[in-house]
Amino acid sequence: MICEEVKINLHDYIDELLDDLTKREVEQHIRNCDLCFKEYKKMIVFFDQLKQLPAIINPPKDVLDLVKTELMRIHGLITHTDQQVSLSDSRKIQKEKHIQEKILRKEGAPLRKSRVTKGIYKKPYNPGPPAEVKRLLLTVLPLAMIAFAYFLYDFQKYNYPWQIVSTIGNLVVDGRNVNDDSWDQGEILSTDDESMAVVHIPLVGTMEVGNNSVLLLDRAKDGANKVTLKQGIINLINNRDMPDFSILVNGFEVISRGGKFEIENLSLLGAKLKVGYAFVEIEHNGTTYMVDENHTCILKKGFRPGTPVNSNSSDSMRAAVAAFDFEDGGEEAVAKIISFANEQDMLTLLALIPFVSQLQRQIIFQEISNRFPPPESVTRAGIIRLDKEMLYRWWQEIEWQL
Amino acid sequence: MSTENTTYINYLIEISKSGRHRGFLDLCEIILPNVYTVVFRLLNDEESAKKITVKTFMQAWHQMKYFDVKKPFIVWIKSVAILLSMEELNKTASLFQMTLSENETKGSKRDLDSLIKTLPTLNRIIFVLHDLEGYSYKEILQFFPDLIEDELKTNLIQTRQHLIGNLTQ
Repeated sequence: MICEEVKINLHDYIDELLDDLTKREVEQHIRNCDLCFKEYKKMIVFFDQLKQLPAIINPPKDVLDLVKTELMRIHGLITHTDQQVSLSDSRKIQKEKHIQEKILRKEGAPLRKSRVTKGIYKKPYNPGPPAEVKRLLLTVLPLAMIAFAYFLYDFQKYNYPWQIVSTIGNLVVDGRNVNDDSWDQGEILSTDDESMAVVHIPLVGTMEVGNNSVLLLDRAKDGANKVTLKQGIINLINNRDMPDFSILVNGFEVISRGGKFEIENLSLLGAKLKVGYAFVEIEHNGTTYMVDENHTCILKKGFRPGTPVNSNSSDSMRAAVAAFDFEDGGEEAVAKIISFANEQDMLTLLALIPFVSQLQRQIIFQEISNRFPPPESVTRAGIIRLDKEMLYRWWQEIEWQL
Repeated sequence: MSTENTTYINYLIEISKSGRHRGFLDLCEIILPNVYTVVFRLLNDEESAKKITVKTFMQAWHQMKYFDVKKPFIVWIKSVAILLSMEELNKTASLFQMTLSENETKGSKRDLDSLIKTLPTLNRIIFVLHDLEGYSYKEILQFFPDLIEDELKTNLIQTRQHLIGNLTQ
């Protein structure tokens, strides 16, 4: 292949349009030709710069209003009746916008082409050091560099001390009486019946600590922050979409997935987790349990996490769920739960499925389907045999509608 | 170019097809940045981009009942936006009137964004669709029934060489 052909083919190479044989010929030529390698390097710089262009150009704020007005006009509606067309659940819309932007950034042509351009490396002209030394260096150096880079990367993620501010009364941090102070990894923070505090967690948000609480800061590290709630009450407010922050309580790991939640550790009675916004995951014995917003869940030592119950559910519903979870209520309790369940309780029913008999799974499947038909990819047989993927997809389908 | 509809988008499409404004406006809000970006890159002017974006959504609203939910909505609405943008550009001058001249390929060094903005219309459309939006040659040909694939390729290569040659490092 001559240089002119390579110059033309280089564009097809970047556009991933060459067959394997031509592709190899182009690569071979570029590795051995200084002039073409120079051309190729220019392409790398170009596509790198192209990748830097913003994937999204923010539209002017009034575009949507113009669409709205136009819609009103053609349907002869008066602009005052804005409620009829007011935008609905903004959280879902923001989430969808985020998904669309993510797709655009991740799968955008500039990023792909920039990656493809990096496919060819020029063969070194200088033979360099002897082969054995070179081989050794090539093996050891990258490993050493990776290890060092990882060490630096890992080290910069440590984010302690965290700032604590007393909202009322005196706090005790590792035996010291303080008002406003910092909290280091491995230290215990406690409040008494007359004190409360707010903890600022870097890159996560804030944690309100209630009266008579005792907390241990296990790990203060971006992506892996961990606190143990020994007793008392905390309220976590996240500022990030997907923060990595978890709280250990009664042997359960409660993992924050954005939004707000509260945990009250009532010692022998167990801990009560109340999710106010977004959702929370609970890790227990290698299994993950989901708790959606407006749901509560009891975490008792020696049991699996309690079935999540909607905050608006009736007391009878709560009692039936508690009987099933912690008092060996069995089929009778399940029958009660089904009979008390309203639309808001469908995630509770779905969470029960793995723990009931095959017959009751069939009944629960029907009960939920009547209100929230499963998505196309979810089948009755899959749910009955407890297909994790299908259970999760159905959970998602119900979650956004509740 | 393929982007599957999410469950929520499918739901909004369904309710928009049944004539509910609210669902349609929600749908518009979700895909607005996507649509506006391609329109702005093609038209190079904020006012026109705004006008064509609104026009795109209105045309989509009128044709909603014919839309097949199994197809990616974003791909469909973007093709409406591209056609309307091309129609708008054609109003001022024929798309084929200007091409890159020999002189222009050796212009002054500038940053990539301003270089793209000063490309002749046809070169800009092909470059934006292929290298920024990820359309294949075959997909672009659907917007230019009078061109053949080789002409498109030549135009794109010429554009890239012009940009590479004038790019500040």
